[in-house]
Amino acid sequence: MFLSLGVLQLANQAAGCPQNENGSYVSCGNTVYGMLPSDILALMALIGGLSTAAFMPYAGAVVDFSDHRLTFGRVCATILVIINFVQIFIFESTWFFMVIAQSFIAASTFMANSMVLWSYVNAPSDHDLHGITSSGRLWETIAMLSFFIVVGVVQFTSGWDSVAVARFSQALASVVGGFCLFLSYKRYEPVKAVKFLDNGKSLYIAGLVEIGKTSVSLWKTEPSAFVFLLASIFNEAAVSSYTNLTITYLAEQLQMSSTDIIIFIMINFATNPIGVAIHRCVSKAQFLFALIQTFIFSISVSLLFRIVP
Amino acid sequence: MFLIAFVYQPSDANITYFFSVLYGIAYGWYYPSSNGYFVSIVPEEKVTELWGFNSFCSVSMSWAPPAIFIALNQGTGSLRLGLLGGIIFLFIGLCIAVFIPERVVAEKTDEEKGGNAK
Repeated sequence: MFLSLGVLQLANQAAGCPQNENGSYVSCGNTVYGMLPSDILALMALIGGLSTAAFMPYAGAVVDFSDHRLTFGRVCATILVIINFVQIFIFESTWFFMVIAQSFIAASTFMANSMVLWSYVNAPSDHDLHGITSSGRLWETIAMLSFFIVVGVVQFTSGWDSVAVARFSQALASVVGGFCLFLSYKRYEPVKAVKFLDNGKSLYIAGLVEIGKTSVSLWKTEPSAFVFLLASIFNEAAVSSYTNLTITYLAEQLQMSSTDIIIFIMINFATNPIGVAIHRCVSKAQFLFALIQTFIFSISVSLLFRIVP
Repeated sequence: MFLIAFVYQPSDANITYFFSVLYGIAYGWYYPSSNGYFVSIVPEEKVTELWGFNSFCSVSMSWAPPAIFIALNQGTGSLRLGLLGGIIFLFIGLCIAVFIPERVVAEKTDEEKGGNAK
């Protein structure tokens, strides 16, 4: 997020857009690399999404068909830490390279690393698995909130601009994240392949074939899971793009300063555990899911009535 | 998405924090309930196997809302319209989710029940 704010600042500077008193930039209509500065973060999300979607079948095949799951995870984690470290050196001359590096490499290695880490979770029952994933998500949120608080305090007290804060946040993320990943992978043991692949067969093709087989199998044997995953494709696409697009909207449309945007995101993360706690208090997951969908639907309906100028 | 419905000019900026609370609660609610629902509708022996498939489904179309954002923003110059991509995807997801069939678990025959009792 802090890198996004730094990139947005440098993109507006490169486009020559004038700056407001609070540090935000006026939408001047100038372009940089053929695009409006407000499109740069969306471009990062677009390329990141494409590279991740293309890399996931291979990552899944390595996890399922090879004995090198642990090594693959360690390589992805190492690349992820290195890329985050390199992004400390974000300047006027390097910012677009950082956008490309973040989009192509960081996004896909992050997802592959997550896939490997979660593949080691082995719960005795579905109730335990659900508890583990919920707890994991809660700890993840707490860690992100803590990170935000640390970097936010640094920003508030130092008076640095978005680019300097981005450098600090990348340094913190690569050092702390790298240390935590090192500790995690130290605890994991090598695991044998769970499926067999004929000699000479491509892992990537095997991954794609496996996705196709799983889809057909689910449709025939577990149609409720199939339809759920189909809905999830669209829901997750929207939810995952929320951060980058909202930052752009807050900065460019509402002309909010980077400090105000950081406060917005911190409030967002701070209220996540409330949602998790509410979920744990209600018994039927199906009812919750429907309720949330209704909530989101009501938002979009209200929007439709306001979006028309 | 209340954001772009009601908050669309710099003078409305202070209202954004209210929506940040709303979305934060919904965001924190969504993932655990989505994961919990997924676990409840998948056979126990297949949960671990399908978790990776679930991850793939989560990212397979993640590029599309930003693509729509770029196209609309470049074409119209309106950031509010650009955010429609996310709303459209949520709407489609909701429409599909409404038709999720109930999971039918095959009842055990008397022989299977008797065998288990022994």
